Amino acid sequence: MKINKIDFFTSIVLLGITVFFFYQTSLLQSSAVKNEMGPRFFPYVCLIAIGAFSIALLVSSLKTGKIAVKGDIEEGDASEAGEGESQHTIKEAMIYFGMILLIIVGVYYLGFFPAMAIGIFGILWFTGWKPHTAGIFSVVAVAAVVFIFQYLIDIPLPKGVLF
Amino acid sequence: MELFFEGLHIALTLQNFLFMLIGCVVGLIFSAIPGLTFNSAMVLCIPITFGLSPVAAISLMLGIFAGGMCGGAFPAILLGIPGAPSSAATVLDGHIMAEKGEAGRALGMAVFASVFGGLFSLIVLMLVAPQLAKVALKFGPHVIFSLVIFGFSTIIGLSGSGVIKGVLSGIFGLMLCTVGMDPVLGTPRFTFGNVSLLSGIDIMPVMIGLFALPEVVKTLIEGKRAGGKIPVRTIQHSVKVPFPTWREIKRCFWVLMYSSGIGTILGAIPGTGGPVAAFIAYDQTKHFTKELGTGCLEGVAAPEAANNAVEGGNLIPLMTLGIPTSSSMAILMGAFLIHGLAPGPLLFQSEGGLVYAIFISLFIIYLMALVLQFWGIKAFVQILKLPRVSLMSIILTISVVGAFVTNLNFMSIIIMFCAGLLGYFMNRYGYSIVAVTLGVVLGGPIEANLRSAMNISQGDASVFVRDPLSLVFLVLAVIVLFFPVIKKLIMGTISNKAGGKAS
Repeated sequence: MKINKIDFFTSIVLLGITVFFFYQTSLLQSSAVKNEMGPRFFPYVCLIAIGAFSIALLVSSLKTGKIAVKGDIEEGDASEAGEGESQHTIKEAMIYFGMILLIIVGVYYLGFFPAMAIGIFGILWFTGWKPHTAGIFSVVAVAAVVFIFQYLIDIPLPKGVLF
Repeated sequence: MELFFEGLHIALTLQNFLFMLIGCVVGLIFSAIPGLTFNSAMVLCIPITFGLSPVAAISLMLGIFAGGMCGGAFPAILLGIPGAPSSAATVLDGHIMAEKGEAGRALGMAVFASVFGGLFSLIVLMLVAPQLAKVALKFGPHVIFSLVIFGFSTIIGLSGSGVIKGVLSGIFGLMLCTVGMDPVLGTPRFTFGNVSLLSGIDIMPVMIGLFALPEVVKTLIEGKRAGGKIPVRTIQHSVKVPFPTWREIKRCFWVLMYSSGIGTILGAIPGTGGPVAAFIAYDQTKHFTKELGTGCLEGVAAPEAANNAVEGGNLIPLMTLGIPTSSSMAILMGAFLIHGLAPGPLLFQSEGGLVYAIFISLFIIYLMALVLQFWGIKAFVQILKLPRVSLMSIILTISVVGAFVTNLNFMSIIIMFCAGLLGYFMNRYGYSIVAVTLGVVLGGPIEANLRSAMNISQGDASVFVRDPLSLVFLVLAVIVLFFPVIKKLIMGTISNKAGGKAS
């Protein structure tokens, strides 16, 4: 049996999430007001729908000849066909997302200006810019954003907890 | 008439003019650079609007939208790359004209058609919207619920991600809205003891994450592969944009008229949008012009008029019913909500002057777009050469600011990051980020109307099917949602029959 791995695992994860939130919803306080559906009602409706469509995704991922939705077949084939290339791109994307996460952590500890300037410098350098160009650009660009938001529009920017 | 003059008074301020101009320029820039979208520009500019009046804020957003719709024609004609999906049909004849050395004529007609289409749809909007709002005021919560579900399902159905993935994306967005305090009883839901989540998940960080971060990462990867700088296709010849001659306008007048009509009607239908309108208008033009596809003015006029007319059409359901019909409208609705305005029939009652101010602002924005594009062509040609990697690093910086300023809470930056990561994988595996955005924007109204309707009917769910209007919307929602499956079944039956006959 040919399985669309990505859809298969996505559906399993979604079913897991559905079960977890179903349990969490059952812990919510119910409504004491007559005829009021209460805070559980809407999450239950959404979770039932997510659960039902996750099962549908699971079934469609098990490629047993014909699958109901055309878009899903094409997606599955495409993702499997270019698996090697896809992995490579995901790795690159995760490196950049990792850098962005580091910047966010830096903003929390160091504050907006130093963390963003260092982070943008790092990203540009990693992308292939020369260090001095990346350095000058990152400082000027972040300083311009700080100037516009903090001084022109008077919007406070995150301050680091260490300073 | 009183409301019109009140709107005129609100709209014609220096601050408003300035933000319309800024919006228009930003929209033109973002749509002129292939790879950037004016949706990202709209999302990133929302934080700037925090200190502004609602009209100035909405004017900025509309400026970006109108500018973005118009500006896509520049790279489409000059480079043969559509700056926005709506300009894909413009490439067909526009780029051929440019190759023949008639880039100026094509651009002139594109600019004129864009503004013509936009103004046409604005007039329709001004005539239809107030009447539709009056009718919509009579709808009960069960009808509004069914109507919102219809709009929601149409966009999911036509999002191109398939029924299962489309619905999953949309409901995931709705589920995000359940985090925070319960809207009726005020009890916490899914906050897991985190105080920052009590106010719920804000629309802004989610939208910034979904739209901007995947775009930033994608461009940076592209940049790294190209050694740091993405090669830019430059235009060798100098370009001048002459205003179309009276003869050219007369020749294309009917094309402009029906294309604008197509765009306005399709714009009012959820999920269709600019690209569909542009291609249908282009296709209709084939019946009147034999030279289509060989580089003729009609081939530029039709798609450009249609995709810009979509804007006014888009605003009809948004302003009168509170239903966003596209991702841009979902972002615009987010901006409305952030400024304490709830689009819908009540807006016409409570803020009638403001609604007319928005209409008048849109009119001025189109005139600005006309002037900017005719006189600013040299600048826009230069914009096509802007290095995208450096732009992305600026966008990343603004994204962090944009997420933070929503509620000055660090948690919003983390939410933006998570939304960005999610958006990247959703884009990659064929899930619809537009559906998630709509879910987040419409989650509140859907839950409120569902619970109201159930309360009024004392828990009787049949209220949704007993009212004929509500039933019609729900049936339409199911049809539209399962349209790809129904179509496939019908096509399968037809091909089976044909195969049977052949054998």
